[in-house]
Amino acid sequence: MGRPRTIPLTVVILALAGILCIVWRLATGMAGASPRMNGPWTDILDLTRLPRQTQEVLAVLLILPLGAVLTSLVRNVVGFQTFGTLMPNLLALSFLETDWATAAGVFAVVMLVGLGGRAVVGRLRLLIGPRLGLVLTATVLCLVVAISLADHLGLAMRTTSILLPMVVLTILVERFYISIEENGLGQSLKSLATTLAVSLACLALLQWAAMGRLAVRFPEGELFVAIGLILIGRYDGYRLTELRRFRDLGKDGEEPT
Amino acid sequence: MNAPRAWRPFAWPRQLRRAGVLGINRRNIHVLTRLNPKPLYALVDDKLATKEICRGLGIDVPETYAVLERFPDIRRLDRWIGDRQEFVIKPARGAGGRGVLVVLGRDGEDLVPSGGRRMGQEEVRHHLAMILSGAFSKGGRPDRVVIEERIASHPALRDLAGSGAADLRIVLLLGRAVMAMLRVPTKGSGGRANLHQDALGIGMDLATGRTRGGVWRDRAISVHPDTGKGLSGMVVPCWNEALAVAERFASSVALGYLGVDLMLDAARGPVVLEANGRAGLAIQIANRRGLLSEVQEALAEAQPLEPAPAIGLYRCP
Repeated sequence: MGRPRTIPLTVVILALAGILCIVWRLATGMAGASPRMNGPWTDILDLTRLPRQTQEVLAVLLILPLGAVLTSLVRNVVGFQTFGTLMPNLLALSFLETDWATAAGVFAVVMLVGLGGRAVVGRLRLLIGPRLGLVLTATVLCLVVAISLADHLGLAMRTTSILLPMVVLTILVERFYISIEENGLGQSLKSLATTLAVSLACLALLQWAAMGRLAVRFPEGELFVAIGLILIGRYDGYRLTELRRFRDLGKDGEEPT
Repeated sequence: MNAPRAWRPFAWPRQLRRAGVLGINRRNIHVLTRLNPKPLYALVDDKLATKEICRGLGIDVPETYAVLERFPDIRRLDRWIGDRQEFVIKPARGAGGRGVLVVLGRDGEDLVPSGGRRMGQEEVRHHLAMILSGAFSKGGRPDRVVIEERIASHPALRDLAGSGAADLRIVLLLGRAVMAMLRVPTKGSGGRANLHQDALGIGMDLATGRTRGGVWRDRAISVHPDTGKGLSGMVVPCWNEALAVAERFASSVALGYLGVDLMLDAARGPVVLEANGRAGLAIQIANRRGLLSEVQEALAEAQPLEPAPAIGLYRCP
């Protein structure tokens, strides 16, 4: 089946550009080592000259696309569905600034209130918009009470770090609800579990310090990530899940011509 | 019950290629993008648009009793349905049978839907409101409610379908029927004939209109999962007419890969319910063969698709 010629061409150009960048960087000793290029503009390409904190932020940004590669692999090559392609990445990002206990706490509250709230709110027979709003309200109330309670008990908590997870999780719960209406509970739970598993993997990637340093040193690595995404996007073979789904059709013998 | 089958957790890609199985990635990347121009989906995603097209082609469709477009219409539900005992409530843009309510009878104020418990007035109104607010439409877009005639199963199929209604799915490539299956509700599918809701699919021999084995929960089976009756050798009535109707519809909407769902009415013949521009792939399991060779032929001869002739009738909603 004809594959447009632009695909291999794009891949080759991206790969050449990437390799060229790396070679140039190594040749000029720009890869983080001290003798730097002092050209007027070329130092823009050297991220290691930036302050340490900026570098850490850049490392996170540079690794995000890798998370997208992971999610696309799971969706298009393995065949498990996630809620949105960027959701696992976003979820991982939101939990990056939060310690594990807080993250687990916020997650538990949002999921429990969200899921329990659905059963109660479902009886009120509201339309979807207000219904989600109501669940969000209940979640907020629970979190506020929990935070106030923690303070009363003398537990210190960085409250700013729960804002982003809260927003992202609420979006996730909303997607989950809509999916229950559309695909049934079983399928939705499966997608939810996949989304969480993939975002844990994304989180591990984001926290991988060595990977971060490498990404800051060689930002042109993104070009190879782009190649990976293009190849996954054009993958027209069977998904892993299809090997199971179509197992009763499998045939031995000659391949038809 | 279903003949001893070997324990088989998966098949190798090589084996699936030999069987010519069309996978979902290949369908999405090559078939849909090359055979189905995006703007044309509107013609089949909206059931009212599909009906318009069918009427223009002289194809029979269920009679529309009412279309509810706004929330105040819900209060006038009684007036819309009058004293009809049987009718179908469905979202105009619903997919996969979601939100469809097949009403088999009425008990005072209550409605008795197929495969479910009776529903009071308030419950029905809430269901209508859910449809209007887009709970069952793709991407949650606001939708319309279609209230239409219920087509009964053909007597020849009643044995198979039980209380639910069996319909016929025909998959067409460039307007030619290439595969077909009967879709039969089961105990688990709640009266619905959608395969991913546990309905049973029965493969069809295109040339003769005879059934052969089936598919249920993605497994190839040879007997009905509820009744244990054999699935092959039954003759489906008005077979050639059904194929002709599907082909006429498909060549007129110019979607190169299309599934047409129709019911066979004892008196009227084939009645088209809806069409699907992203028809599912489980039909291959029902028919024990893959679609790949037909797809490759279609792609080889596919001209850049010409949109349906503009008869004003085909206005996108």
